[in-house]
Amino acid sequence: MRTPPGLAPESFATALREFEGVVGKDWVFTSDDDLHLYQDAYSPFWGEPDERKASAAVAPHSTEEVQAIMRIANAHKIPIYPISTGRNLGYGGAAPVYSGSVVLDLKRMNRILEVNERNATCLVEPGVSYFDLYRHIRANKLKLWIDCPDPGWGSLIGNALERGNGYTLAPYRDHWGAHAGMEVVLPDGDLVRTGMGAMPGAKTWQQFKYGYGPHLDGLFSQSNFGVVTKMGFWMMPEPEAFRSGTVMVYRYDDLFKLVDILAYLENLKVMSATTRVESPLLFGAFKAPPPSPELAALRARNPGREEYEAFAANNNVPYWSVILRFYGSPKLTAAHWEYAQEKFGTIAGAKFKDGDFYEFPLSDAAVNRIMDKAPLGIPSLEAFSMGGRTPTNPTPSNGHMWFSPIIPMSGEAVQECERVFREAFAQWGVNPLGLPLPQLYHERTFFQIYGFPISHDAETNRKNRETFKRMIALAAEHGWGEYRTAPAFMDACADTYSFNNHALRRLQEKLKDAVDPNGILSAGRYGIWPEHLRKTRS
Amino acid sequence: MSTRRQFIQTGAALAALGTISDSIANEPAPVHINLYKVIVDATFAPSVAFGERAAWLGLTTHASPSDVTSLWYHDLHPRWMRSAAPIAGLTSAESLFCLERLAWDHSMRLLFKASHTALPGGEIQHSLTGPEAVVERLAAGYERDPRWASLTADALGRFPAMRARQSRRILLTAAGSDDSRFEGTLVSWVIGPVVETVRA
Repeated sequence: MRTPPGLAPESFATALREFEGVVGKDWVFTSDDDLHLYQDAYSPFWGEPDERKASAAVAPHSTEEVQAIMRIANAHKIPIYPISTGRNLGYGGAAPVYSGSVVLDLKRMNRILEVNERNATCLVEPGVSYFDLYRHIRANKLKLWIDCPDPGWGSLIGNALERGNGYTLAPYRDHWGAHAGMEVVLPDGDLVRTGMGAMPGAKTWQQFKYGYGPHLDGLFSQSNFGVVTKMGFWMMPEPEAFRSGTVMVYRYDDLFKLVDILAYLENLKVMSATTRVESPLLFGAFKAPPPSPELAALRARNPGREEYEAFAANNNVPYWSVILRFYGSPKLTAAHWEYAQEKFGTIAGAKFKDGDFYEFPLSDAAVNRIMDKAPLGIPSLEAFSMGGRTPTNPTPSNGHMWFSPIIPMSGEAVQECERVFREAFAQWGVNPLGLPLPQLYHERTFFQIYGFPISHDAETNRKNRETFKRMIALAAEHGWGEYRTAPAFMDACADTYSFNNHALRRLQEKLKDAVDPNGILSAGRYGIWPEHLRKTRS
Repeated sequence: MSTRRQFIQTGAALAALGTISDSIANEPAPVHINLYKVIVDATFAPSVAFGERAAWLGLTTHASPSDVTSLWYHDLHPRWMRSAAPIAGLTSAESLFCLERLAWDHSMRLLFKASHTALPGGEIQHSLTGPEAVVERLAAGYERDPRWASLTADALGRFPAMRARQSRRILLTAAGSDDSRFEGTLVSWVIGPVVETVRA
């Protein structure tokens, strides 16, 4: 039997027996077979001594059981690590940040407690996945959409607490921003509800986010101050129609105006779906077929900008492109697309291409035919097959770790970020995955994505981890910060948020010590360590 | 505390597989798991051969692309919500990655896995992990018969229901028949239920 660090086996055995008394013997797991399920499939420490592993797992079925478990954990000082569905791949999966913790597996708490069609809200437990809620909506023919990440097999609550994103309209694609009200078990077992939920019998827990007094919800995201057992969300009413269109421009310097207009339309909410700036000329568009032999040869030579621009003009291959997505009625989406073309049409030589058009509801057969499901609020696992073995990717990786710094939403910032990392990679002799192109996930900002495949070779992983940390530091030197990261890099990222000699960390530690004096909950998560582990933290 | 596990016998039945021509199939039938579906990916010739053999054995096959969303959403999940039901397949590793994790939520585990990797010289490396009897039967079959995908269907179609000693074998074989040629790595596998039985 594995034992949490610093804990006597007898004490741990006693605690496990007490856990069994709460949840039943079938729901406390200690065998290697079972604990294997709580390993991080994308661990950058694969097979190394530092790989994070659970000492046990316990799976409660109710909030009351979570409270009882936290009280037992406090009594025995057992480190606890809650997960919702454990599918946070690329960001730690089901494995604890602090190795040896007992995973609190909330997958059995999978009840959809309420879906309010008229107000377009829902209240769910942590084990509810995007697929679960989507299935519920389809089965009940509700005129609502979910907004899901891609892949969509994770938990609504888990993804929101990680501040993950989806693909539809801005109020919904920010999964944390779309939440309305929480129920939280504190480390001492006490139970609180936030927002209007603090008022017994409140009628608007999932409608009015703020309640009264300080808005404490943020304390429970990317943190370790409580176990969220219920959470409400605003949902998107099913639109009558969806329409997409592509904007294409042909000179390098068009990037600046392209981004400015995109920001204008997003902030006006004319076009507020997730998108990205692509370069069909330099890299190929998303899901595009392979380049022509001429374009492949051009990329291989990598000539100057003028030659690229000449090729773009002569071969109708855009230097930059953006797919815009519109939601509403057929008339409204057509009007928004027309207005967008009018604005982007001020860029000399800009061209436009109509994209998909759908009217809702869709049949199951129609859903199956859709290639790009996430912008329509349809969960999918396609992302895994895209990383799979293909003629152009004969040796697929064992996962990945992404570095995605937030940068300003401007062409100048895109240009600078591309230059800084291109030069750094050349100097360091590395060639990360990803494209130096901006992704519009969070409102008013872009992020870039660079990453590394996870290897089963320890030396390769060690070098990639080192490079990843150098990238975090380099980004911070330029004022670009990570929005989310894997456990291996949580401390390094937290270190960069250092204004006034790490005043934010000091505040977080004060809160941690007050709320969780025994330091049992999710030690080290997002760089917040309990007092007894601060000196020895990785 | 220790946990002992044993494969659940729910759904296990004497397989009525009809006439099977090779020596593997002619062995006395033990108690086998009753496969709900055999998953094939028509992208790969060996998977097609695997599926054809499975169908000939009387098993229900389901063709799925590497993206298993539709298979899972419309078929496996509704079935598994009623009770655990074993499946087998010869697919891409990415398909198995998803199906295995989805099966975990329904008290099922990966019971057998073989990676089949086409090497540059034309040989195939088979890396098998599972019940010793299945592994040894397949290893012996692969060495004498190039139709490795069909042999795999024979063995996995009659997968033992009871927990058995686990074994691992890695072996190289010749390129195989035309319908066994491929590039990269494919995986054959069985996913089935487990149950807690005895705790000490």
